[in-house]
Amino acid sequence: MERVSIAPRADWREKVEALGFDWHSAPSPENPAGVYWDESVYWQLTAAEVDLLEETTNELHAMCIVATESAISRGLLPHFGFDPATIAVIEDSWRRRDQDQASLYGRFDLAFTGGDTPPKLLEYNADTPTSLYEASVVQWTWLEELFPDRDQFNSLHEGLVAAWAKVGAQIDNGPVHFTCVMPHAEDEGTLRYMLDTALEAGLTGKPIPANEIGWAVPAGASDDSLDGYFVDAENTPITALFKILPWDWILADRYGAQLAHVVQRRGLTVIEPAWKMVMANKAILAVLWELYPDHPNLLPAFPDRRAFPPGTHVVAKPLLGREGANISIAVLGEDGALAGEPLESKPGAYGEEGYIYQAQTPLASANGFNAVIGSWVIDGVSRGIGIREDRDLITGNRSRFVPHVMI
Amino acid sequence: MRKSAYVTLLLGGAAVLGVWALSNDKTSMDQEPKLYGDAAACAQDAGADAAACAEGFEVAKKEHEAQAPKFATAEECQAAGYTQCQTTQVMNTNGSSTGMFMPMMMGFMMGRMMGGGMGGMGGYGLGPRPTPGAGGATTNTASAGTARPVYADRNGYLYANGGTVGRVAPGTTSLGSQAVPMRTASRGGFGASASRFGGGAGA
Repeated sequence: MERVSIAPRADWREKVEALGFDWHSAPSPENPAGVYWDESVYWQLTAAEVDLLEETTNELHAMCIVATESAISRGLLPHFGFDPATIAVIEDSWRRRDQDQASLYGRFDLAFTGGDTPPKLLEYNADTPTSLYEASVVQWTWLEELFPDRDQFNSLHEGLVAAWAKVGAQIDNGPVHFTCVMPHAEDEGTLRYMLDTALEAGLTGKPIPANEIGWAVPAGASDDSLDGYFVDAENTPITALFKILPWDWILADRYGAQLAHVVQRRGLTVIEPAWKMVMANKAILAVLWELYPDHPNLLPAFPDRRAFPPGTHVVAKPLLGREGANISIAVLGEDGALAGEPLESKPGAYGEEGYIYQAQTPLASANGFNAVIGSWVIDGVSRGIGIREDRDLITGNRSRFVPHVMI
Repeated sequence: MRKSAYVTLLLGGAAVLGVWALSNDKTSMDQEPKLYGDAAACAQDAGADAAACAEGFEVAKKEHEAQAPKFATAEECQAAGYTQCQTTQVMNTNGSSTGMFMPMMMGFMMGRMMGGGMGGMGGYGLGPRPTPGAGGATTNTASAGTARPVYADRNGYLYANGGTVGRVAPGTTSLGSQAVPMRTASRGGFGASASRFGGGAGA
């Protein structure tokens, strides 16, 4: 695995914008250019390295299935920070996962330094993974133009279309409403892409801003009656909903009780399904380590820092955190206490729900940049990767996306 | 070889955005569907065309007879969620017939112009969704042609064309002369957490 510098295409902005990729830059006062899609560099992986990533991803997903079953059957979900109503929704969804609760996609974040060193699982973005369009289409068109004879670990697009066809069979091909908070260029762009792949699979679909979703009740019932259904802006019932909104957010929103009720009544199919909340929660890392101690693709992870010997570099991860928020890295002293200040930390609004502590592991690193492999699972199968880079050790929402090639 | 077989056939951004824009076309969605017990109830509704009502009722009845799920026993029919079940004769290939059970048609739904809205992708209407409503294809043409039979489950939820379309008191056997109203009680119940946590919802 090697980092290679290259001159960006002179007209790369126009080229990626022509693809509908309008979130290629995220300017900020500290970083006026704010490049997110960075084609001044790419990572080069060997076929053997890609094979290893693929095998690892498939195995990790299978282990996460086992860990989810284990966490549910052993009653561990309260330790995930889930309340009883959420647990009921998860358990119901998990029971029906082969009926109408199919999963489309998820993304593992892996630490991988190349060669035959086993990749290590950092976390599983199983509910609302992003950077999909970049990985599936934008880096592909980059490869086609610059390295038409090279290969890329990327069959994401046909994987998504096939996965939608499977979901469509469970819901008679829709209609599916597609929602996220709008305006938000990145989430809307990913939503467009998901709608596009669903249409290609033969489903029907329609986008709706999250705040336009309504709740319809029988005339005469009170406004907050649970005996109703969600409607779009035209009062059409919503029977299937693809969302780029974390389950823990929408269950905490004002419509949370209605949502929990209507999904358990089979009145609404949500994609990703509710059971993905278990894998998306950082507590799964501790369950995995408990079930598969010393597995080569896992890092030690515990809900209690005292489980680590003094001197360990640990990463504290909020159970529900996203985009690196509230993650910190520190060295432990005696009995789980911190030895000095954290080495690195990111701010955020998470943490009240609890933390998981995971041993730190080296990332692929070159010229002061650290790379994390985003390894995609589509319908349960490893389908490709996207790479995020940062000068920091913690990958955040401003970490740059860089393309890759196989040699 | 892991190259995508056909990612290069992807629609470009303009086409993707085109789907987006078309799907926001509301012109074909303005006419709300209405539910009626029979053609007479439909004809009494202000603005309804009596001939279209009669035709719509017949279209819905035909689809009901042809497409409603059939069960060997009344118990199986009820176990599938339909409180009200009726007998029907199903023709066998050798010319004989078998008595079976199917859900009772509570009435019919019509009034929505289902065409358009998704730029030729087929009507975006109440999609076919057998939970536990009727199956059946969506033929999105003229108003009467969009008429669909309406069924009720044991909780009184009404289904037409696979979607939930209303609710009556559990045990109701016909919609009678009343259109069943649902009202949108509120909007905006999703999204507050997004502003609380800030930023994108992705991970």
